[in-house]
Formats: sequence, C-alpha cells, structure tokens
Amino acid sequence: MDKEKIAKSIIKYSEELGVDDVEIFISEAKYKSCFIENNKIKNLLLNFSDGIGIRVLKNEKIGFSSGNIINENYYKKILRRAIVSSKYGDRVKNFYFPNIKNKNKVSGIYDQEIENYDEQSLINFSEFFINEIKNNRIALGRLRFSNLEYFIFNSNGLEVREKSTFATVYSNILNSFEYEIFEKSRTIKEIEKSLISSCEKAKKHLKNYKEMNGSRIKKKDIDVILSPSVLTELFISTFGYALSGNSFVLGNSPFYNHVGKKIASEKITMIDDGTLPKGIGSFSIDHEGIPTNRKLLIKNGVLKNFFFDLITSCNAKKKNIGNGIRNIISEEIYSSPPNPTITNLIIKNGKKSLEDIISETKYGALIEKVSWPRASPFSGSFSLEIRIGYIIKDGCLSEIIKNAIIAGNFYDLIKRVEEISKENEYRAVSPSGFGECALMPYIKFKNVTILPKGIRSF
Amino acid sequence: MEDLLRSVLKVCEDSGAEFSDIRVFRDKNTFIRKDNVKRVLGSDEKFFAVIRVLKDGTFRYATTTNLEKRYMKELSKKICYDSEYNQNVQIKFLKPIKKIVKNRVEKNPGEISIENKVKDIEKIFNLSVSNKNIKSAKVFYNDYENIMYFMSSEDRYIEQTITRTNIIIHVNARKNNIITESFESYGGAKGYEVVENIGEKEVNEIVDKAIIQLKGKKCPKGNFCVVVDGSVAGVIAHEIMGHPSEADFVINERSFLSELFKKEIANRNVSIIDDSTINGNGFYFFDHEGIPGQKTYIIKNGVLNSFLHSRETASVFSKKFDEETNSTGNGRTQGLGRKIFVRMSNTYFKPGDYNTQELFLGIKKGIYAIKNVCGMEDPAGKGFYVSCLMGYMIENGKITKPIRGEVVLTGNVLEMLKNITAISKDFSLNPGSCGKGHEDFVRVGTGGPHIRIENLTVGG
Repeated sequence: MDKEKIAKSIIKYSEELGVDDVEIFISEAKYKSCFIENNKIKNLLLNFSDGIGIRVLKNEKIGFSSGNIINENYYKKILRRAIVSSKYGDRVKNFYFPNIKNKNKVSGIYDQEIENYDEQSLINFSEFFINEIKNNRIALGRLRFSNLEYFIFNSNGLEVREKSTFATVYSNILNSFEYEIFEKSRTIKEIEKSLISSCEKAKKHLKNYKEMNGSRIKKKDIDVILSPSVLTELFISTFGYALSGNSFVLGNSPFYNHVGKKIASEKITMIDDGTLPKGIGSFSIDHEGIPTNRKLLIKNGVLKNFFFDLITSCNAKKKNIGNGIRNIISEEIYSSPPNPTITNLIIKNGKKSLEDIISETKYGALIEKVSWPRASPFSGSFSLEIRIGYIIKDGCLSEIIKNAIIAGNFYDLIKRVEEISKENEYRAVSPSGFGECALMPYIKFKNVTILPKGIRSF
Repeated sequence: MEDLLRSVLKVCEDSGAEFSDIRVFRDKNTFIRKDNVKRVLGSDEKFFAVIRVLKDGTFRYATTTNLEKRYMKELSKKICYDSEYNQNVQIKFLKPIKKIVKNRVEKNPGEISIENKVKDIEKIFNLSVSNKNIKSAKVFYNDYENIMYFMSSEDRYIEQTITRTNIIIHVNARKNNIITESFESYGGAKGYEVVENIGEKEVNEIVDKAIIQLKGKKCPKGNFCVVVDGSVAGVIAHEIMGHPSEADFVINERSFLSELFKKEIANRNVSIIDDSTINGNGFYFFDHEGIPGQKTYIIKNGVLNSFLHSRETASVFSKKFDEETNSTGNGRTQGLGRKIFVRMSNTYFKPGDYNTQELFLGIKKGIYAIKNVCGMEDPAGKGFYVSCLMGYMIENGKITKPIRGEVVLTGNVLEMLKNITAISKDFSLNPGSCGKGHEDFVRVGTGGPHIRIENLTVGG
C-alpha cells in the first residue's frame, strides 16, 4: 500500500470538498503473542492490522473519522464523515496542522530482531521465561512482540513516519502468594535483561512471603518507602491529569494558577521526556507529527509547566506541545484523536542507595506492590491495599505486611519527601497502548498512615 | 458472508485442524465529546476477523483487518502448522445451528441526525454547568452498532447485531482549593432513549453530589458497618465473585474458589448472578464462541453454585470432575489482536426483601458508600478493593454528614460474604468495562440493590 499516494489523493479530494486543512494518520500493527498457563505454553496469536484516521479543519472547526479498510472509495467515505462531524465541532481559533521540520532522532525504539521474530522464537522466549521463574508457577502469562509503524501527512506538507517495536511480558506468578510481573521494552536485549531482574525480584519476594513472619499492623503514621512501580502509577494517575493541557483549559487542575509556586518538596524535580533513549513513551514525533521534547514540569518542588497537544495548546495559548498521543489502551491508535498524554515521566533520582535509606530507617515500611496504585487527580486522596510490603525495624526488613492498607493524600505526601534513592526503574502503566511511562526511583515519605484490613489475624 | 467464512474454515479443515471457528466483526461508532472549551465529534468503522483453530491439542489464533478471501485463507494455513506443544485441549462438539439475531431498541441512534444529537448533548452540558459551583463539565456520548458474523466447523452460523448507546456526564465543583467530582454513566444494549431520558432531575443529582462534597469531611479510616448503593454493590459482586469464578482462574488454581465448589460461602440471603440476557452493557445473544448467553447463579442462597465457563474450560471441568459441564456462554474477546477468555457479562447481587431505609436502622456509627469509581480483584489472595465516589456518615440509624471522596472499601471476601446482613429490594444496573491482566477490555454491566456489610475496612 503506497501511503504517500493515498495521502495525496485524500488531500486533493479534501481541497475539492472545501476543507481548509487535513491530517492523515495511517498505522500498521503486526504482533505475535504467546499465552502461558501453569508453566505451559497455551496459545499463540498472530495479528496483522492497519487503519486510517483523518482529521479535518473547516471554518475553524475540527472533525474526525477513522476506519480500517484502506482503499480509495473507503477513505473518501471516511473523509466525508470527518467533514460532516467538523460542521458540529466548536471553533478552535488559530488552529492548523503544522509542518515542523526539525525532527529528533530518538535512539533505541526499534529492534530489527523483534520485526524478524517468528513463532519458534516466541516459543523459545516463553520457555526462557518459564525457566527463569523456576520453582514458582506462572498461573497466567502473556508475551507480545509488536511492530508498529505510523505515517502522518497533512495539507501543509508534513510527511513523517515512525517505526517502532515493543516487547511486553505480563504474568501472575504464584507460590502460596501472588506476584505480578509486568515488563515492557523496545528490544529483545532489554526485555531479557528486565525480565531476568524482575524474575529475581519475584522469587525473592515470594520466598520472603513464604518464610518470614507477618506483622500485626496497628493504625499509625510511619515513614514509608514506596517502590518505583507503586510511584509510577501514583504520579501518572495524579500529575498525568493535573498537569495536562486538558485540565489546564478546563480549569479543573488543582495546580491551575500555580505555575511558579512551590507544590512539592524541593527534592522533587519532574520531567516529561519524549526523547528518552529506549523509552516505551519515546517517539521522534508524537501522533500529531510534532517532534517530542524534554519538558521540565516541576523543578525543586516549583511548578514550571503543563504539557499540551495541538488543540489544548491552541485553546490555552501555550506552546508546550509534543504530547499528542492517540488511544493509550490498544494498538489501534488510528481510531481515536490525540490527547495530551505523559510520554516518559522522570523523577530525578537522589544520591543515597535504597540499602542506605532502609538502614537509616528506625521504624517504617517498604511497600513494593499495592492492589491498584492510583490516587484521585482532583483531591490527591488514596487508599491502597498492600500486596507486597515489609516492616522496617532498626534498619532491617523484619516482617512481611499482610492485610493492611496505606492511605493519605498524594499531593500532601510529595511535600513530605525524606529521601530519594539513586536507583531507578523504568515502568509502564499499560501493557498495550502508548505513553504513560516513567523512570522512577524509590522515595521515602514521612508520616504515612498504615492501618489493618479486616479483622483477620495470623 | 456465510460463504466467505465457510471457505476459510474449509482451508483450516484441509490443513488438519480438529476444529475451527471464525468471527468477523463490523463495529461502527459515533462519538460526541463536549466540555467547557470544546466540542469534538467523530466516527469509526472497523472490520476485522478473529480466526481460531484447534490443532495438535492447542488453540491458535490469527486476527486481521484484511478480509480478502485469499488473504484469510493464507492466514488460516499459517496457523495450522504441526506442533509438539500438545496441551490435549478437547472440546465437546455441538449441533449445527443457523441464527440471525438483532436487539430491539426504542430509538435506533443511527436514525437520529447528528444535528439533533448535538442539540441534546449541548442541553445536558448546559444543565450540568448551570449551577455556579460547577466549574467544569464533560459529556461523553457514544453509540455503537456491533455486528458479529460467526461460523464454526460444526456448521454453526450466527449473525448478531447489537445496538448500544452510552453517555457519561462528569462535573467538577470548586470552592477555594477544594475540587470535587461527580459523574454518572447511563446506557447498555439500548437505543437513543438513553439520552432522551436524561433530564434536569438526573443532571441535578449528579451536580448535587459534587456540591455536597465541598462541605464534606475526609473519609474516616478503620472498620465500620457499611451500607453501599447498587452501583458499589455491583462492582463488589464483579470483583469478589465474578473474577474468582472465571473458570480459567479456577483451573489454574489462581482462584480461592477452587476448593469451595458447591459449598456454603455466604449468608443464605446472598445470591450473585452473571446474566448476559438483560439489556445492560454486558448484553449479548451469543458469546464470541457462538454459545447462547445465559443467566448463571454464581452464588445461590449462599452456596457457590457455578463457575463461569468458555467451551474450553467446560471441557476441562467435565474431565476433571467426571461431571458434564457446559459453557455458560462467557467466552469473549476484546476483539482485534486478542484471544478468547472467560469473561463476565452483567454481574449483580440479587435484590432482597428490605426497604432501603431499613438497612440504616440500628447502625450506631457507619458509612454509606455511594457510586463506584473503580475496583480490583485479588482471586489468589481472597481480597478485594473498591473505590467509591463519596459517602455519608451514618449516625444512630440516620444518614448525616457528607464524606468527600474517595471512600475505599477493602477486605477479605469470605469474611465479607458472611457479614452481609441485609439486602434491599431496589435495583440498579450500571455500564462499565472490565480488563483481564490490565488489558483485554470487554463491556460489562454491574449492579444490584443496596446492601449492608458489617465490619468492613474503610479508607479514603
């Protein structure tokens, strides 16, 4: 399929229909999945899909339509539908689809080896995973190796393409207790590395949960160290919304009018970086054809910026674009218009090792996994069930935590940062979809409420 | 279409498949998103096929957007390779059928002009922001026409058309530095009447919840007697019994229910049902394996009565327990690029005998939790987590001070089931979406009456 020819034909047809500006987004996704049940390879799945999404601008109004049969008559139909929907859109003054030439080169987002992966390679990799986890059981697991290529054209001369690969492993590991493994990388080498490290962690925690004594939790406020996987979702569920162009233009961000003000501990520096090498949330161009960039969101606790896509930047009259990401929960990215979305959220790491931070804690907790690490983006409140956690006594992990929750307000918590580790981990929020990833350290907070769950004792 | 599907299945058969089936989906969607600064409209139309073959004792899948006969035949051959990874999967073969089904709705959204849809959404939006305390509102409207053409190598052919309409209204109220939210979602396998039935009363109820929270206190933490509304009860049913009863979890010993089949696990007043035959968001005539949807009692009068099955898990159970087990019509796929898993449809608590107000009587200090935000299951650890929009304190049998969201409920499932002491007569069913392993999203409904639970852990 000649994408350039299709785009030219759509642009020509759109001119005939009196459209002021048009953007064509075409994506092609190929992937292979393997499903594991009870340490055995269960199913293989092959997928080949493509589709097209068209946005038009007519009389300062935007319309959108998408579909997945790419032939001339069909995409003309999609264009006509987009034009009809534009008639009823709201005016966005000064909006246009730009053609920005200075494209970045982001390294490590494509791996030829994934593109060449065949069914046997997938089976071999699955066996490697089963072997790594040893003596523990993969109850349900899935591995997916994807190639995604997208092409963006617009009537102002934009012609860009991005080729990328992803390797994803998601699994529930059981050994009298459950541990969730979720790793996502851009290359085979990276996924192997992160999976080995993740399996080691899983084995360690599952062993601890089998062998260590459980702690009797009483309600109290203690120092708590949260892991990168817990913090990634807490930061993205709160700041991913609160600092987005959408909440800025709607005025419902708790940090509206707070630019230049202190909103966190001075130890917190937060960056959104769409150019991070090997990042799952890294792109040379976002899904609107805008070169991605590195944005300082919070510097030493002071709010510096929000992040935008084209429409919200136009409404807010701000220039901080490059975060226009489509459909973050599936590979069918053509089927939704872009939204301002976090790419890679980086919390600047500290100088102390996690080991030192633990050893300096007289009484506290280390929380590695919680049931669903989210907080309200409006109020910051959270209450999380601890799945893997330890009580720290005199600088050592002394007991495991069972049947307890931690609760508080994340926007208050980030004002009470005690330490940030020098180690960090790369984490993604969703197995499918794009953006919403983070490079995250361990963070120790002061005075976090921990309380028992239910009436069970053990 | 029937001929196309038959010719693809013939290739599977010729290539050595013991069984094969194919479903071609045509999904049409129109959406309108309206907020304080923009109104965006759009539409999407997808065609795709999910081909499945059973060969050498394993199911293999191929999914594609290319529906050309030659291409689908080649793809089918590609997944019919010989393999040594035999999982000994067997399924019970079924009788041929031919069915063409379509749900009836009062008003087909496809027959309403975009102009009228926009007018109605604007009206709802304007009602939402008419109160001065409401700083922003969003209205998300979607209508769908989902068509599935299904054929299996047993000569079962099904054409199923389902029209769906969904609308979500979300508002934020703000006073000084306090921001609160409130929302409601309506819809399911219904028509445009879903939108037309939303008036001032419905919108005011949503707005009031956001405004009341401005005066609310933070949620107290600890163990309380809790009364939950139908929306929260629904998600509790979904998380505590729906997920653990999915038979693939049971077979893989990831569910605490594995050892409890046919045992009494809840108070006698408790029945939890999965039912794809009612017109909620999880409605269908046939699941994605071509099995009729049905009403399944997961818990019946306190006893664990049935698990939820696909064709494959039913076969495994038949062998394991030497007792004939059939699919409960819960084999579903998100669609393109995804396999078929055991999934819920509409899951709910069966209503009881109490008037709603009676549930609050005698509670000295408790919490009334309102409107589900999200939930998470823990079938291996017997736990659950449900987050609610807001709540009220219950003091001496009366609903008193408001609690500003969120109200989080957690606990041990088996203890919680024994602590359900009263269930009301009222009933509501809410549209939602459910994932498996943080992806594989399918439409579901959750619901129930008000229920009273003693000694539940609350956080916020």
